[in-house]
Amino acid sequence: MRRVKITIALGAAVVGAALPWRARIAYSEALGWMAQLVPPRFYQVREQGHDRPAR
Amino acid sequence: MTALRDDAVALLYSGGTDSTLAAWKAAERFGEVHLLTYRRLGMFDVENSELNLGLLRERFPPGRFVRPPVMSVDALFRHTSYDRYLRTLLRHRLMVLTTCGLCKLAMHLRTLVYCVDHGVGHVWDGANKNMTIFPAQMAEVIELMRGLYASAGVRYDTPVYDYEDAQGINFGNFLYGLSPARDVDEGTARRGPTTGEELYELGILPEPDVKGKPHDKRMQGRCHQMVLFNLWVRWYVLERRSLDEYRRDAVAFYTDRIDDYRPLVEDFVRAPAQGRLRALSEGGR
Repeated sequence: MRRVKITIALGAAVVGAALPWRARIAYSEALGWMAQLVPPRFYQVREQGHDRPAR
Repeated sequence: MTALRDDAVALLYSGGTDSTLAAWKAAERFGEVHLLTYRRLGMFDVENSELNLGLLRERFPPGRFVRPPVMSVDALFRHTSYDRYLRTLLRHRLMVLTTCGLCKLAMHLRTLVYCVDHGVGHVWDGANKNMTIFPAQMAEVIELMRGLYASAGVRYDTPVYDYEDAQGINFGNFLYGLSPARDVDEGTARRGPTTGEELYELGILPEPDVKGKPHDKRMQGRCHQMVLFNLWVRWYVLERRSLDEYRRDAVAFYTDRIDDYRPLVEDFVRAPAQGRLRALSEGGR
């Protein structure tokens, strides 16, 4: 799961960084709507060395 | 340049919980509170900020709140995001995706121009310590902004910075883990009230915790640009590095970015009617 998240995030970020202003805004808007489909188990993030359990 | 008045404050006002409590506190302390709401491409429903403003107006004397028209920060946001882009990308890599920090920087620059134009001596906002990944709400970045405002003779303060927050990472899970979550571990002892609790006690909010709920969406605008930023930070950076390492990189990036604007602010203070900052504030390049 972690590897999937990292790959998705890096891919999305590289595309976002390559886009000009208006295109990046449109891209972020599209990501915003797509993000609503993300299942809750993807919440988990690591912070300061601790895994935060999904709620 | 108009003399800056010590009894007037400009507040960056979204209509959300934090900036609404900041507005309440500002109205108690200052004779004139200018509530500045901004819009730009990608922001929707910013007029929702009128909801809580209506309730605030009922509780304070007429004229306490000054409400200029919603102002665009499109040109400034484009500039904070893309000026010297290649250099910035090579030096700070994907930190260029910290959209929310760059947008807030644009709003601060516009607020600085507003203060000089209208003789307002103070700036407040709803920055809060619990917004841990947001650059503009990091103490170090706030200090840098404070310095930028000071060069124009304006004092910048964050009256609700130390308020606690009961929210977990999935507050407002409308966008699940990609929402602008506040990172507070459940079970952590709180030292004081939240901004929502205080507004509830004051009769402004219908319940102490509205974040992420339908009422929250009715009282402020929405912006999906934070999703790309959150996606990169939460799913990539914080999966590989610590929060402290991320924050250190963010502070380095914003130190450079804010330094870029120092000469523009100095030029503006010398000649407010002209110059690059004036042009960007008015939608030019």
